[in-house]
Amino acid sequence: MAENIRNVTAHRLLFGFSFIILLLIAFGVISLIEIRTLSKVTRTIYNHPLVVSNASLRATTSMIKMHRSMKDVALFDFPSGVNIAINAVNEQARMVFKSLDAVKKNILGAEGQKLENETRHLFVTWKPIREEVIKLVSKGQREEAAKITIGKGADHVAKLENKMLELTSYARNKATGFMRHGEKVRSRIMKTTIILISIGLLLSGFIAFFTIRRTQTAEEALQESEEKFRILFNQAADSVVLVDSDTQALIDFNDIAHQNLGFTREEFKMLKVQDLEVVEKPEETKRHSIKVKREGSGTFETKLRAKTGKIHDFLMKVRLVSFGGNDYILGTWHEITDIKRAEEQIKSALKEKEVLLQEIHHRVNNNMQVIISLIRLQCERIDDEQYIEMFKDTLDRIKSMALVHKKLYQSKDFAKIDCTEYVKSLMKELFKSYGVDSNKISIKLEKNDVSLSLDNAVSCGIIINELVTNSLKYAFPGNIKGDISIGYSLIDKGQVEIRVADNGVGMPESLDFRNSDTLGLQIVVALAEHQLGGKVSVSTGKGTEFRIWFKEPSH
Amino acid sequence: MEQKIKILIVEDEAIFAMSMKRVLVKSGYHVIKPVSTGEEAVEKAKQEKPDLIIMDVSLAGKMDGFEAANRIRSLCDSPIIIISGYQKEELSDRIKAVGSSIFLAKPFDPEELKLAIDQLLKKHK
Repeated sequence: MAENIRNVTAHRLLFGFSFIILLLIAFGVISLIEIRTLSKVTRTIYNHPLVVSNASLRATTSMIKMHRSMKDVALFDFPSGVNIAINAVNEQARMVFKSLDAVKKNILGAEGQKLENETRHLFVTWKPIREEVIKLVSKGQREEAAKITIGKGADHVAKLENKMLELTSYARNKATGFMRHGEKVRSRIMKTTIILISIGLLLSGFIAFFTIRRTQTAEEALQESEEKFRILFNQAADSVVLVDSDTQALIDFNDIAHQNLGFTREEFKMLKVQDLEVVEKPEETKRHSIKVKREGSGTFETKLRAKTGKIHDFLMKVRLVSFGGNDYILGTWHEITDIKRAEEQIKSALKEKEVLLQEIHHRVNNNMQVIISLIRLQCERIDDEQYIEMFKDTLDRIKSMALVHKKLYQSKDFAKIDCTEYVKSLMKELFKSYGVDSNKISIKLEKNDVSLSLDNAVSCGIIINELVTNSLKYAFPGNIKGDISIGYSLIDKGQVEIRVADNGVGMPESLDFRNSDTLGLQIVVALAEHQLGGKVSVSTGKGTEFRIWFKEPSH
Repeated sequence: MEQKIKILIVEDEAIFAMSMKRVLVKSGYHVIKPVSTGEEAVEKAKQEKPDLIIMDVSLAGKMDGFEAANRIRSLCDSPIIIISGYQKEELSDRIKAVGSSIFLAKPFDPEELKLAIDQLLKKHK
């Protein structure tokens, strides 16, 4: 937001000052034009009306002097005086022409030119009158000459004087006109100046006002933003730390960062990461920083030493950031001391459990071995093959139970046992126990992904042991070859079916397996129906097939 | 007449030790009176110099089967069958350290024991 306000302000300032500069340029141009006009008017006043007026006055003065000298010509009764007077007339006549030439050169307008021509004409036409007077004087006819001078000559001079006054008046009027024009120009310059300065001042004020307001708003927004980020930074649940990527010095950090480790802000500011680090050596911390600089980020666990010396565990998430032309590592340190302690406790508890299980397993196996040994010792004292056989069957049943424990322990999941592995091992033990020739009788195992709980696995193991033992003992008399197949499958939700079949001679049709005297079959029925709460069915014909169904909670 | 192979059984479960001794005697081996502690085993091995030792890992007394086996190793080079209720995987490093040995996990059959004895003796010849 602050960035946006700064941009808008900069654009407005640029626009405002550009406008003021344009205004000043326009003001300058207009002023120059008006000053030139004023200068021209002043020059015109000087060059034209004033020159004309002065020349006209000079001409009038000379003409009056000429008229007086003409009177002297008529009145002087001595020749030298006449000559002086005539010379004076001629001198003044030259002066008049000179003045009239100046008028002609400078007078403006057609009316002025006409007035000058008329004046010149009147002056020129005065000359014959003067010459007539001079001629009469030279002949001694002074009275005649005097009459012409004060009569016709005086009338002509009067006309000439009027015309010259008219010329003077014309020039003065012109000067007055130019003066008024000059006044107007001056007034216009004044007005233009006042208006442009006012506009400039207003505009500058306007720009200054809005710029200040904008700047204040931007400042406030910046302050608010900074305050917001400072709160976010300081109130963060985790330590947030800015580290110099080269020296690993702690440049900036939030409150929790130093409070967590028991340092004051001032103390913490004096530290480097390597002063706190427990796991890494200083050179390793430096290498770690280089790696973060290269890869841009990283996540790792480490231990830091608090001021009290207590070790804290942290999960560090670091990221490379750059500003002001420098690289820094921004880290979020999440304290995991409690999690680590809990983890250690869980690990320790698990280890204890494993040791306990190991010990129980060891004890079970030892006890099984002792039981088996006891039976074997007992067997040594029996000569009757039938009893020996009975003890052998018992041994196989115990071994099938021991096998469940072994498989369960190996499975690492102490609640379930994998059927395939268990049955395979069970068959191996049984075949070895009966010394079965695998060329005569072979085992077919239908593999299915079924696992059983410990209790059900023990019962199933004994059932399969009994049924396979039955098949091995009775299904293939003499040299009959055949197969024993074992299958197990999940037939319904939580319902497991176990199938043990052989393609041997089959059970006698008269045999009721539920009420048989055979211990093996009694065990099968008892375990299947009483222990597992399931059902047993048997079909005979070409061979024998037992099916057992029961509920398995693990499915 | 060929001299019988002398076997020392080190097992703290008396019934199992007795059972093993009977099986082995029946199979034609000369079995020294079984002992139940590591200390006794070291002493017997020193005295009797058996051709083969069957050593349980968990024994009565302070010394376990591995420690006893290692001590015996410094006295004689008799091959040792290590037996235990623990799984082989849990003890594999310690079994390897003993050397010239075979491991049997309890419970095992007399046939398995006899087979292991045969294998170890053949290997040791």
